[in-house]
Amino acid sequence: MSEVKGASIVGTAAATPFGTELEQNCAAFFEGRNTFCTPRHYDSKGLLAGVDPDLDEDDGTSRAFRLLRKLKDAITFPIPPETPLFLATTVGAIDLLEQGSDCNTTSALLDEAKQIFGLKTATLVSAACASGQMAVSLAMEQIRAGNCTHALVVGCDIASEFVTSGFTALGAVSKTFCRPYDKNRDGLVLGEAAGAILLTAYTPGTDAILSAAESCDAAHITAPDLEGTILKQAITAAMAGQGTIGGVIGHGTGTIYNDLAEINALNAVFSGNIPPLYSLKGNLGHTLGATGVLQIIFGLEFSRRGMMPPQANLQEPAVAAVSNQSQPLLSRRLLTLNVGFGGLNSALILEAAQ
Amino acid sequence: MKIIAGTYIDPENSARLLNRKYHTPSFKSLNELRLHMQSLDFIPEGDLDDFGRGSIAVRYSLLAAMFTAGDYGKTLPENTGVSGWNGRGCTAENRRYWQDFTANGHEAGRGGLFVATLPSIPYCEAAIALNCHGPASYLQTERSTQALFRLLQARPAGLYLIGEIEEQSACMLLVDTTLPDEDLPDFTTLEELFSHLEKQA
Repeated sequence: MSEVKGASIVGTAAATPFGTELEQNCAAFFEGRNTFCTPRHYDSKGLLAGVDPDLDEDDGTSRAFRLLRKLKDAITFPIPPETPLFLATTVGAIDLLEQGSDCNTTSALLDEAKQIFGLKTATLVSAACASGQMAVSLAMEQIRAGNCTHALVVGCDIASEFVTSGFTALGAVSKTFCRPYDKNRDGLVLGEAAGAILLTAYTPGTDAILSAAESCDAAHITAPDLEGTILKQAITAAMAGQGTIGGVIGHGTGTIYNDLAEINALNAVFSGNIPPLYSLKGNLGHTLGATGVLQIIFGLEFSRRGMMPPQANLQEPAVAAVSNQSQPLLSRRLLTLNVGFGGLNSALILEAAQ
Repeated sequence: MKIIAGTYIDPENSARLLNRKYHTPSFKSLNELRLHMQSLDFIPEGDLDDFGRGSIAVRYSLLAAMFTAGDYGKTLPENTGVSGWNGRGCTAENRRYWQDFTANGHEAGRGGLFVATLPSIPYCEAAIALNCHGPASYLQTERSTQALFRLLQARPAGLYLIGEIEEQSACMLLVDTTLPDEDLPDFTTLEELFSHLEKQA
């Protein structure tokens, strides 16, 4: 178990298929819309993905580079020049490999990110689908240790034939629709997006991440511990001293095992009374390394509004905490979860400024 | 922060342990090294079920982690973290998965090969083998051990296994972030740091 205390959020930006405006994205979430369609840039064998048509115009570089440039254009806050970059990604510029390049695809994305954001120091954080929140934790620790005054965390992954085929081989992709926390869920839908968060030292009363904790199931390389025992430990550590939790943004991939492990861990932590639960993946699909960063960006806005969006695509709730209607939060403090292959777990608590 | 144990598995085919000053006999394959390792009484019990089907990086990570735990000589606390740093990454695993998938006419990928394309997987396998429940990840930074240790030092207190895996070698160190800092020169790889510590010992 590893615990970190808080950091303030100076600025955020997101690039999703819904657009780069916070309002555009939140409107889509509260209307229960999704981005799922048939990708044009690879043969998905009929499987849907949450793809961004803005990235389809091939400029001879990686689609991931285009996504990062779209994100950069959406950033309206200044980034101090000595700020270190923490890049969360699972496979990086994987389309370069598909096109025949022999490059290290994560290094390629890291190098490009340094150039695009004009930053000298950069760390790649790769922790499977928990990369986003783990990068945030690492950045928070560096600020608390006095190694930097600010840290820019960027999460970025694209939808690709490489990842679609891999998840298909593992039986993790939905043949129908991504339905997180639904009794009849049958798998994930891949998505693509990027998000950026500028962090600084914690000041009370600001948009903030109040605490974070990480753990590893150390049980199985692809399947989570279905009891959610070690995930529960991370959640409990992140929640310690944080008072009433108003809602939970779960990892919620829509796979049978992931959602079951999360529900079991949450039921144990909240003694069966889980606060309003929601997963972005019903709207955006699984955006891999970006998902944790996006959960924080949009979670802040849900905290500000005091409402959790309806769970997109929900038909039969697997647990009472999830609903196809918007739900009022019990407090402004939200728990957000990331889970990844290898048994990786990350839990953090965020709150929007009053 | 102090380095309290370590292993280097070198291209000349032996494994060297930092504290015990133990050198294995030369070996022809990583499986042969595994069999030798498991015959040593100071190596802890560990879950090596995935060794046979693991990628080269997974095998190196499992061996280096088990040897380092044996070099430490005590049971690792359950909250020990495991991280990879720089090294070869997973370019070879990416290529292997994709070549296999394309050779199958873009029709069927192999899940086992796909899982290996995540750079954190070798270190998660080490966490499974040693029952370590602390954070696990793969980090890539500038080639500076001091930059790496600045990152680690800021992590919540505890023990961390940190590994660097190359095509034909691996180095893993066990660091304790609660101990006073050692005055160490900066190196570009963990192997260089390991060699420096060996000479000092």
